[in-house]
Amino acid sequence: MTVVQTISQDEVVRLVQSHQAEVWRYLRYLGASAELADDLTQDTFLQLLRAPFAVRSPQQTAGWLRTVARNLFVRAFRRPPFELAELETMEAAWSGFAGDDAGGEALVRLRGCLERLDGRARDAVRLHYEERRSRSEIGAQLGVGEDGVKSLLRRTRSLLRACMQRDAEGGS
Amino acid sequence: MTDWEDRVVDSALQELHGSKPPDLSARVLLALREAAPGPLPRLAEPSRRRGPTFVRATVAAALFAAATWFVLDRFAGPSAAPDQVIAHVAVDVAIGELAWTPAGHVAPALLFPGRSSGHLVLAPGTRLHSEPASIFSLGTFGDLSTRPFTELEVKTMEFRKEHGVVAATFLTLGVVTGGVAWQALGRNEVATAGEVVRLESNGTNANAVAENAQLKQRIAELEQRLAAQQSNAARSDVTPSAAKVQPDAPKPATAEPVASSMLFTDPKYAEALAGIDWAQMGAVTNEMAPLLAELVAAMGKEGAEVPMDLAIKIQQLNSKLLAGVPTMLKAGLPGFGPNGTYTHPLVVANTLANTLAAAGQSLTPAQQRTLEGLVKVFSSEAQGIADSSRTFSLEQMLAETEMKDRFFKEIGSQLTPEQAAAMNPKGAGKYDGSSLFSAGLMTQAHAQPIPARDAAEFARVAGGRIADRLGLDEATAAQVRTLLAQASASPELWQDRGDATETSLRMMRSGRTQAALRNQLHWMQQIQQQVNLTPEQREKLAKMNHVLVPLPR
Repeated sequence: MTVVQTISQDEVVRLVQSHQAEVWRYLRYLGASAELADDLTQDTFLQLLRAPFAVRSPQQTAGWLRTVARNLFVRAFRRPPFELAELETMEAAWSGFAGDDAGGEALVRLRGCLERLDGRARDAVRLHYEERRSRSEIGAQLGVGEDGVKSLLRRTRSLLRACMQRDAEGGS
Repeated sequence: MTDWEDRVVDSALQELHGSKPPDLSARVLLALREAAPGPLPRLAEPSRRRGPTFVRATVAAALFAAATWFVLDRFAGPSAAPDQVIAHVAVDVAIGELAWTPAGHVAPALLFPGRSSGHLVLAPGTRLHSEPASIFSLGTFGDLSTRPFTELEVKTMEFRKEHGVVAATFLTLGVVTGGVAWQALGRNEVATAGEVVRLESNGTNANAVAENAQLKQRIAELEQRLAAQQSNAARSDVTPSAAKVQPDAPKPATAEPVASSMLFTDPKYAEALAGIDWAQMGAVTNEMAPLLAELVAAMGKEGAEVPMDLAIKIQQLNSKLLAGVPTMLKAGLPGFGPNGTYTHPLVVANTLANTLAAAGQSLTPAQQRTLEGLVKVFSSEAQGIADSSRTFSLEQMLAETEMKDRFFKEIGSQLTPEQAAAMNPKGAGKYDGSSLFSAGLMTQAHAQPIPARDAAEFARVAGGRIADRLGLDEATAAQVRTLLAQASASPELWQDRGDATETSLRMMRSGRTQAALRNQLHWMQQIQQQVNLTPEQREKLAKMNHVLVPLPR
């Protein structure tokens, strides 16, 4: 017997809406394009809804969905896009970000940290994430090579992560 | 910042700049209505529960046979549906490891290290992982060899029901990552990520029914023998002088003639141990010991890969050694886990005597007498260790490995050079599990290596495992990670980089796991004292029975 036969349409919608953001974000984090993340998120929920019914806590459901999403993502490639050995590091980084609210609070903190960013770091983020410029275009504008842009973006993300952590510790 | 920590910030920045999660609920509803339901096949089996006779028969099968057997049961996992058909399968891991994650679970619930055996439950969605290249058998489905970092998922199971026994005929495994080779009935199949491998059982239902009947008969015989023994013991209580048993005069085998060459015994365990074919244990050990040394030597070569022919041969011999383990466990010999029982002084001494006999280097009567004294002393110490109460389960393991190290050293000192070479061929003992006469057999079974560059990386990974196991919230997990990083900074743990034998075979360099175990007990004490845990979390911590071993890379 599947859940489809035992729960209402409204309950399905509630279930999907309460978990879809995390599944989608998780797939994007793994490296899926936005379109692929849409398709795989849908397939992940279909697997959940067609699987034998089980009583799970919200955390267990979230864990189950992440595992299915990850497996579907891996299967979308001819070769595994990452090694299983990375799994723990990968999960630890995701859990640290997502927390208990699928990453909602972390995004608010990140927005706050972005506003405090200045100079070349702010320019690099604007050009890369907002204007979708290529590395060579960004490099030409900032006067650095492509490798320099790559390093600058990574350093900036590291700064933002540190800022988010500080804010989280300060707020807790 | 790791690459994954970088990626998480990167994806969050993309989201803040427009790439937002859509509402997919309408799409999901539409797909549910359009598509055929149920990706996983289900059996139209009735929802009857099996009666006690069937349960006893299957329990007997688990105890006495390394067969595959199946029951209709309610699966205990969180994702299971009532009346879902599941398969209980005997598993025997020869090389590497096998982790089992029940359907719907996130983390592995069981880990079978190399040269261990047991049973697991298979159902659609169950996943099997092995990080190192591994070789294991799955009940009557035959042998599987996996590449490093392989994950398999049970896709379908096909059943047939005869004479009240539900038996699986086919098992289809999807390869999520890595690759697997299946060998059985002279057939071979190879599958890599994205493909499936379809295993066919080489057992029949008729065999299962016949086996159950034989096992029931065997239980009845054993129960009769136990009743007779208890009756004799009761009479002996009345006449104490008759109760004395000569330790060096093992009782003759009772109902069944068993080809046993038991030289060392203890009245408490004599009856059970007499049922073990010690001559075969010795012959197999004598054949297997040089092969293990050969395996380790082969892995020591530059760019070596696991020599599969050799590994399969070792697995076959190991299966024969494992045949005696259920009897040892049932006898109640004290020890930390099955390998602790297998390295009990009584078992070691009898296996050694028969190994030396198979090698043409039998113990002399004088050596037998000396060993008998050693066995008594160390058996008594083993009992004392098992009876002591401790805060952490792993404290027993440490006490036992230290005691057994001394025991093996004492035994070795009594042997001639030729005998010592038969006991431990050249090269054996350098790695845990490479010698069949070493406490490394125990430590290998409980080691969980964690490749890491430094204490901080180790703390991150090990902390994650502990947090999962104990169910810690993020703040508590962070506290545990800090303690782990501080406690695991000792240079002793980081001086030797992991080599191919350690990473591919999961056989740790001798001494590495013991050092990690001492360190682990230290940080477990710190967690117990400094971290605010619930009583349930404290209990889980106390019962941890795996050693998280830093493997420098």
